[in-house]
Amino acid sequence: MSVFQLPVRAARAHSLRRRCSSPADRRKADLRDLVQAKKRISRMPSSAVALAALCWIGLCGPLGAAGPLAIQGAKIITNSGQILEEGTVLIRDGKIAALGSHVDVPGEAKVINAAGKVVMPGFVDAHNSAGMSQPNERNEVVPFLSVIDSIDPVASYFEECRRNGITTAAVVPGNSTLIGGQAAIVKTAGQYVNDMILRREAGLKLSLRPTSGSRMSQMARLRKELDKAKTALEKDEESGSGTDGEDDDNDSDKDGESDGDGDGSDQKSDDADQSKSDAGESGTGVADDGLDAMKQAVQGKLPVYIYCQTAMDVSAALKLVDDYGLKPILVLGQECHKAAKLLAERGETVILDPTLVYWKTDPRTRKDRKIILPKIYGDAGVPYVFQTADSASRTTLGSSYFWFQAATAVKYGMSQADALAALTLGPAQLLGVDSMIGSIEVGKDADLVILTGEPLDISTWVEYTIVDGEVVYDRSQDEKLDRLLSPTAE
Amino acid sequence: MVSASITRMNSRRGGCGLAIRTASLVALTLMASSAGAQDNGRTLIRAKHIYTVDGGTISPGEVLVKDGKIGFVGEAIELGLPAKVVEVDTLIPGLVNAMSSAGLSGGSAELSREVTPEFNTLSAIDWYSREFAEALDEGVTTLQVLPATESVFSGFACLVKTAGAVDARVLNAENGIVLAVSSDPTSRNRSRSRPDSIYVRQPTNRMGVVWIVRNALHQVSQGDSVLAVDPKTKSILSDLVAGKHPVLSVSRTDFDIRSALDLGDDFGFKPIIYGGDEVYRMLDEFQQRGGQIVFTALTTAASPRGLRGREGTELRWNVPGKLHEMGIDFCLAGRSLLDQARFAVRFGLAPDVALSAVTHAPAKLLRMDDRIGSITVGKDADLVALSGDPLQPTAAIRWTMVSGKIYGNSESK
Repeated sequence: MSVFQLPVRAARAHSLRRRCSSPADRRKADLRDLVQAKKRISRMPSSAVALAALCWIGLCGPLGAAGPLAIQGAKIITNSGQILEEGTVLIRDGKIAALGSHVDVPGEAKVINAAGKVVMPGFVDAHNSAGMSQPNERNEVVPFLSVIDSIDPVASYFEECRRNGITTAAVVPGNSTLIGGQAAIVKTAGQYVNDMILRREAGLKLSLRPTSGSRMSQMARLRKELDKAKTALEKDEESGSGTDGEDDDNDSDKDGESDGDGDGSDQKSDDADQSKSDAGESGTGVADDGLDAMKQAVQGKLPVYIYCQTAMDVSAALKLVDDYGLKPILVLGQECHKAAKLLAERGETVILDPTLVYWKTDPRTRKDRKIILPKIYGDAGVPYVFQTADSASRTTLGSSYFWFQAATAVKYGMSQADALAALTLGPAQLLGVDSMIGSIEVGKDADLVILTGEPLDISTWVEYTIVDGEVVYDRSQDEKLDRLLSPTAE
Repeated sequence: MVSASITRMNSRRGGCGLAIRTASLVALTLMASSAGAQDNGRTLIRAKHIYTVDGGTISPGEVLVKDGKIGFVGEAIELGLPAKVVEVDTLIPGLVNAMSSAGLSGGSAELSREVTPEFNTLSAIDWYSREFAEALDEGVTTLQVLPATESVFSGFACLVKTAGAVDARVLNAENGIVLAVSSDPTSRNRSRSRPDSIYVRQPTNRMGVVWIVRNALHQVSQGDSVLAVDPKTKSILSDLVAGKHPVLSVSRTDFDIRSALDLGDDFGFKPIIYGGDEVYRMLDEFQQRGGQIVFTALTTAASPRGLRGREGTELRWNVPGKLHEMGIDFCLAGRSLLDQARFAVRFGLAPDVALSAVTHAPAKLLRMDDRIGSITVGKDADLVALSGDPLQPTAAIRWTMVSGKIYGNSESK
C-alpha cells in the first residue's frame, strides 16, 4: 500500500481525478477498480497489482494536471479553531497545500481575489435521500443494495448543493425500509457517480418506523437479521476461515487476497469490497445477499444509520446498539426530542429533523406549545447536526437552506462557532471522514465555499463553491439564480 | 429640556452598562411574573434601537406606553409618574398580516352558493385557535382573516388583534369583501357528475368565475334583477359598486390579476390584489392602472393555498424588490412574516422597505394606519422586542406587546 503514499500528480481527467489524489479512505474505490483490473490480469500477486496501478497512474497523471489555485485576501474561517482575518488558501492537486496570512503563491497559479469575502470549508450534509431516485425499496430487508446504483449526478439536489455551498453529502436510503441498503458519501460535483465517491460503503440504513405491521414485528425482523449476521460471524471464527471482512458466501474466489489484514480497518473493509466485487463478477449468478455488510455492521466496522421516528424508537435503537455492538448514526424524527436526556447520556451526535421548529397541541390539555429542537437538544447537551428539507418539502424560505438551519440554532442559543462547525466539521466527524474534509487544513481536500459576507447574515450568498480544487459553482454564471432574482415578463 | 435629559441618560448608560444588563434581566423576570397587571399601568420601554418605521430609527430611545396606546416616542422622556421600566435591544412595530385564515377551522367557504358577500369570517373565528398563538409568537399583532375562496364572492374579511380580550380584539368586522377572481371557485364544481349533484353548476372554469362576478354586479347595477338575488346580498353588492367596501381580489396569475382590474374598471371599484404571484409579468400595466397588492408568494407556506397550487405558478424571488422599484403599493403577507421580510431583503429589497412591508404598508392597505403599523404617538401599543437587527435570521423575538400588554415569547432564551 505504501506506493500510494508517494506524491502523485492529480489528473484532471474526470474519472481519474479522485483515484490519483486521494488518501486512505478513498482508496477503497480505487481498490475496487484495481480488483477488477486484477481479475483481468488473473491471479497476480497484490504487490504487482499495486505496481501496475502505479504505472497506470504515472501514465495518466500528466494529462492536463490541474494547476494551483490561490484564494487571496479573504477572511478564512478554518473551523479548526482558527480565523484568519485576511489570508490566502493555496490549492494544489485538489488539496489544500498552504494556508496563512503570508503564503507564497506560485506564478502559474490561478488567483481568485476574495478580498472582503469569507472562505469556509464546504458544508457537509450528513443524511439525505434526495440525491437518489426512489430511495425506498419495497422489500424490507435489502442490505445488499447500494445507493451508488441509484445516485443521480444531475439530480437538482446536487445542483442546489453546489449553489448553497454543500460540497459533500451522505446519500442514504430512505426512512421507510427496515434494512434499506448501503449509504455512500459523495462529493456534490461530477458527471459519473464514481467520480463523486468519497466513501463507497458508508453505512447501512435501518429504519425503526414500521411501514407494514407493528413495531413489534419490525423489531423482531430486524433482530432476526442481526442475529443471522452474528451467527455467521461466530461460525467464521469457529472454522477459522476468512478474515473479518471476508465472506464465506464468496466461495468462488478464495485466492488468499485477504492476506493483507492487520493494516487497520480501512484495509479490512477494502477486503470486503474486494470480496463483494468478486462475488459480483464470479458469474455464478448468485447475488450478494448483503450478509457481509450485516456482519460488518455487527462488528461495528460499518456504521448504521438508524432512523428513529419517535422517542421510543430512540431507546430501542440504543438497545440494539448495545446488544449488537453497532456503530450508530442516529437520524431523528421530530418527536425524538422526548428522548433528549437519554441521548445526552450517550454523547452520540445526532442528525436533527429538517423542521427545527414546530407547534404541538397537547392532546389532553389542549395547550399549544412551540417545540424548538435546537434549544431542547442544546439544553440537554446533545451534539447535533442538520439536514435540509428535501425536494418534497422544499420551501422558498427557511429550512431548505443549510445556513438558515445554523442561523436558527444560533437564534436559540447556540454559539456561532458551534453552528458553523455543525455545518462542516461536525457532520464530517459523524460520518468518519474528517481526516479528508470538514475544515480548512493543509492536506485536506480543497472543498471550500467563498461567501459574499458573514456566513449567517441574511444577505450573504455563496459566490463560489470549490470541490477538490475545482470551481464547481460560480454565482456570476448562475442563470437560474439570476432568473429568480430578476423577475420579468418573458 | 429633552436634550438635557438625553445627556443625563447617556452618561448614566456609559457609567453602568453591566448594571443595566442586570436590571434588564430583573425587568424581564418581573415582567413575566406580573404581565397581567400592566393593562392599566404605564410601561416605559428603553431600547438600543427603535425602528419606528414611519419616523426613522432612534438609537437609543424610549417608548412610553399608557392605556394600551403609545404615549411617547423619542430619545428620552422625563417621567412624571412612575412606570414599569423594560429594557430591550431592538423595538419594532407589531407585524400586520393582511392575509390569514387564522381561527377558521372546519372550512370557511360556502359550497352551496357562489355569491355570498354577506358572510363574515368574524362569525366563524375560534379565538383560542393555535394559529393566533403562532402568529403572536412570530411577532404578528394584527391579522386580516379572509374566508376561503371556493365561492366567487366569498364574504367579508375581518381585521383582528392576535391577543387580548375577545371584544377588544376586533379592529374592523367588515374590512372588505373577498372576491375570488381565480380558478379557486371551480375546484369543487364539475360538469360531468350526476345531474342532481350540487356540484353540477357554475363555475367550472375561469370564464364562469368572471361571468358570475359580472352577472351579480350587473343585476345589482340594473336595479331590478331577472334572477332573484337575496335582498341582503343585493344591498351589500350595491355598496360594493358604490365604493363603500374595499374589494379584496384573490388572484395569482397575471391573467387573473388583469381580469380583476378589468372587472373593477367596468363596475367602478378598485380591487386590491391578494396573492399576486405572477404580477411580475405585468408590472408596467399594473403600475399604470394604479394596482395595489398584498403579495403572499414569498413563502410556499402562504395561506390560504400554497404558492404552487393547481395553478402551477412560477416561482420568483425578487418580486417585492420589483414592486418597490416600480413604486407600486404593496405589502408582504402570509405565514412566517418576519422571515418573509428577511428573505425579501436577501432577494433584493431595501431593509427599511422590507420592515415597512410587514408593518406600515399592510396597515395602509388595510386602511388602519391611523391605529397600527408604526411606533407613533397615539397609535396602539403593538410592539415587538428583539435581541438584535430584526432582519437577521439570528435575531430572536423577546416579547410581543398587543394593546399595551406584553406576551412572553418562546424565542427568548
